[in-house]
Amino acid sequence: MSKSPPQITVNPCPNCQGHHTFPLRIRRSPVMSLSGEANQPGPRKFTLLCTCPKTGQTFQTELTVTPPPSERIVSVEPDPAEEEDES
Amino acid sequence: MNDPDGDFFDGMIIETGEATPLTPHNQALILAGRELISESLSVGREFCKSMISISTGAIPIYLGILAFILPESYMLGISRGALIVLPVLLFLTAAAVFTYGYFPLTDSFSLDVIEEIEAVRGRVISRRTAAARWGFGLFLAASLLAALMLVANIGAR
Ligand SMILES: [Zn+2]
Repeated sequence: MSKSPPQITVNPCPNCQGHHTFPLRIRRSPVMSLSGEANQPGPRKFTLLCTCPKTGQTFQTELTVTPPPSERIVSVEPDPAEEEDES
Repeated sequence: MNDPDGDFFDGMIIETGEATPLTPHNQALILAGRELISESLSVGREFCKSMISISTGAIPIYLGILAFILPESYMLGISRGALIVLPVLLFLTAAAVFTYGYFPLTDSFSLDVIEEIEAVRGRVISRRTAAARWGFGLFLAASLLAALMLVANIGAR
C-alpha cells in the first residue's frame, strides 16, 4: 500500500534497457449511481507514450487503472513537472 | 514495484503492461494528433468558410431575380410575402450553422495519451460533420424553395 503520487515503473525500457519511473497525473471524478451498485465504473486501459530520458525516443506502455469504489478515471497522463530518472 | 496485481495509489490499482517500441499504427496516430488542430482549422473549416459566402451570396441573387420578375408596383400580401422571405431566412440560418462549424476548436487534450487523441479527433470530426450536414441541408432547402418561388412568380410581370 502506498499514498505517494501515482507513478509507473518501466523495466526494461525498450530503448535503453534501463529502468525509469514516470510520475502520473490521474484525473478522477466521483460517480453517483441511481440504480445501486450496477453502474460502478470498471478498470480503464490506457496506452501511454513515454520518452526515454536517455535516448529521447518515445515508446508505449499499456496500463490499466482500477478506480476506488464510486469513482471513475477521467484521464491519465505523464506528469512532466515531476519526471525523474532512476536508470 | 511491478507485481502482477498492480500497485496501489490512494485507492487506485495501477497495473503496468510491457513497454514496447511504438507500433506503426500509434506512430501514425501521434502524427494525426499533432496535425489535428491545424488540420481541423484548415480542411473542415474551408468547406464551412466557402459555404458561408455561398449562403449569404445567394440572398442578393435571389432577391435580384425576384425584383426582376415581379412588377415594380407589385403588392405582396402577408402570407405571400412570408413565403417569399422564407428562403432568405433559411439561407441566413444555413450561414449561421456554417459559422458554428467555422469556429476554432476549443478543446484540450494530452498528446501523450493515445485514447485522448482518438477521442478529440472523434469530437472534431463529428462536430464539423454535423455543422456541414445541417448547414448543407438548410442550404438545399433554401435553394429549392427559392427556385420554387421564382418559378411560381415567373409570369407576374
Ligand atoms: Zn530508456
